[in-house]
Amino acid sequence: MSYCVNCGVELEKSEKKCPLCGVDVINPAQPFDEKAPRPYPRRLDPITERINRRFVGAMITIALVFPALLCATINYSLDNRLTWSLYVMGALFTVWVITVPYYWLRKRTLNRLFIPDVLALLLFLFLIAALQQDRSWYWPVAVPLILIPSALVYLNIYLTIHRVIRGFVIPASVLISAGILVTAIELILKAHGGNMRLDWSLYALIPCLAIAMVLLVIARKQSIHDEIKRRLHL
Amino acid sequence: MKTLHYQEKIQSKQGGPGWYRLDNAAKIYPILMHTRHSSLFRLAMLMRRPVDPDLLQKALNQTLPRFPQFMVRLRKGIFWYYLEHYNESVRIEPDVVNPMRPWTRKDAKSHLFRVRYHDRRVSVEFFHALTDGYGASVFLRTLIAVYLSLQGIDCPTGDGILDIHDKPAETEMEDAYNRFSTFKVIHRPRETKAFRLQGTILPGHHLNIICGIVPVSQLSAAAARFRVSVTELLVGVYLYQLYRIQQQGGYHTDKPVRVSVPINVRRYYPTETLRNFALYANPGIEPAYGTYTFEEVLKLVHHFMRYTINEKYLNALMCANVAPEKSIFLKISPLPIKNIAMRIGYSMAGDSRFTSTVSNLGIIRLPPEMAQEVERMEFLLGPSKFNPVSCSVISTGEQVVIQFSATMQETDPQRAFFKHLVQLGIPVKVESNQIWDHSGEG
Repeated sequence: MSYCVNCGVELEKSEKKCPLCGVDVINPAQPFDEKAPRPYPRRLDPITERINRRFVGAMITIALVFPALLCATINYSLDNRLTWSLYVMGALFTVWVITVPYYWLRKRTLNRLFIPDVLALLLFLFLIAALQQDRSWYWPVAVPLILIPSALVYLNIYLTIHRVIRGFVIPASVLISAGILVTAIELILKAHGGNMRLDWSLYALIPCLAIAMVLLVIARKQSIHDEIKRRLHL
Repeated sequence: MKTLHYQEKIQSKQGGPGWYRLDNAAKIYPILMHTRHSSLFRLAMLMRRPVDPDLLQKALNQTLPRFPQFMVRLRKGIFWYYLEHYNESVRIEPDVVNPMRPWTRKDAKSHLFRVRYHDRRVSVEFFHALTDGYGASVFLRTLIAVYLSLQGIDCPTGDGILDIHDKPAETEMEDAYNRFSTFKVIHRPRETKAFRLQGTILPGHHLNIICGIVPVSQLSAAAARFRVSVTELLVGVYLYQLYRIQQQGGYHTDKPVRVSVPINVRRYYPTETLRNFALYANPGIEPAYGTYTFEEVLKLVHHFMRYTINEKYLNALMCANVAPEKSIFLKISPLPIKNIAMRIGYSMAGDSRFTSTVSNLGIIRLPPEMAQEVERMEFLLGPSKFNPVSCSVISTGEQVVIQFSATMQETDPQRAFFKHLVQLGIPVKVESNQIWDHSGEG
């Protein structure tokens, strides 16, 4: 049997330190035995307050359907057909597609949450183009301006959550994507105007790539990596 | 005399599930349920051999029909909470390192007690609205008796062990407060806010459990030396050490140091109820009056307890507790308003009136057949909202088990208490639920 040299109480075999004062149990005749039966297991009973997600989803749906119906009714009673209220309804539908699946779906995967959002945005812009009866901007500008950033965001999230890239490679990848994005935006806009010379996007692209290179080098060099972690740990 | 026709209600099939009212002491617990105050307590029995979970489950299934008052869940009425019969089976669970975490909304829709096991230990955790320590001890002893009989060891019934083949008696389910508080005299001791311990609150509803095991003979010898009872000695030691922490721990306050001591009043009233039936005495000292020695504190506690714990005084105390519940204004106000009113009332008269609790369940007698299989019993109070440390005492056979449950990291009160016992010549053996990882941080 061991006694705490500080408190004078006898300590059960399962105690590595005195629970009263935290002093180590030092008994050369009977060192601490990790396998001694403990009065309590190591299993923790976590407290998880579950919100009723489906209920939240239903509430959001009601909150969005109500103004949509209201606008449609007012619009119809004034003009005898739906005109401006279609914009409102399209916008509310897009918000619904972006928010509700998060609450409604039992199994939330990246594909299930992300792809409908992109489609909803495309659809909403198509609706606007159709209502304005001018579709010249939709295919050459709107579609690429939605698809390219979406693809880049998707790629970055996918690589990160599947742990293909980790640590300092993640910010490097985000910076490279940002560089590609600004270049792509300028190219799309210039292509619509007919002039294909890169101009302002280079000022963003070059620093983005430079910083990304630095980050990639750091990611490869363990010692710098450790040093930064030590100085900047939170 | 008002009794509830419990059997009739529980077994009535036509009018939906049976129900019954919360007793006077239980009424406050559902209201405090979702705060840090979990209103749970835990009784455990340490066997000599590892527990067989399958057999324990079987024993539980056989025991529960004898205790229909525990087969309930909490429901909300318009004016009061009530307990509704709930006949789902109860599963035993493996034990955890942080027992008695507060109830979540989901938990509250189910049974109000849990049965847990780990290695050689069987423990029951009860929501205080169901029963008090005595009722839980009867349940646990009966459960273990059934468990042992399944192993081929028959324990005699009686003396706190019920026969599971008997029909549940109506007297076991009565609201004894209601029956005995027929006096007109109301006495409510005027108490000011007490000194409150402060410390680092443990994250994640973790409970710091320190258990001290003390031999009965030496503890009662020490009590006899001071000519006080064992409870008085323990309360005196604890009170004195809390007082010293207040004076020397940098608190800069002279607020009264008070300890709440629940009293099982079944001794004074003829009742067999297994629901709540306890009152509280709050012995304390006023540091503003001067410097106290240990002997003075002990003497104060001794005389206070003798003055308080007699039938007449307890009558008046009980009437004071029951009186507000009988007021027509509280009765007719809807539950949400009642919740607010009772929370305010509790913050003015409840936990804030004392620094800590010492709950002594007393000597639990086990028949020799059971005593051979049981090493000891343990009793643990759940965390309270205001007071970070509480102490609970139970004794079986030759051992007194003193357990501290704390929601704060610092162990000064526990350490001072056990050190004092050691200084009085009482050997203490300590165990805890603390996990020390390799870096040495707790």
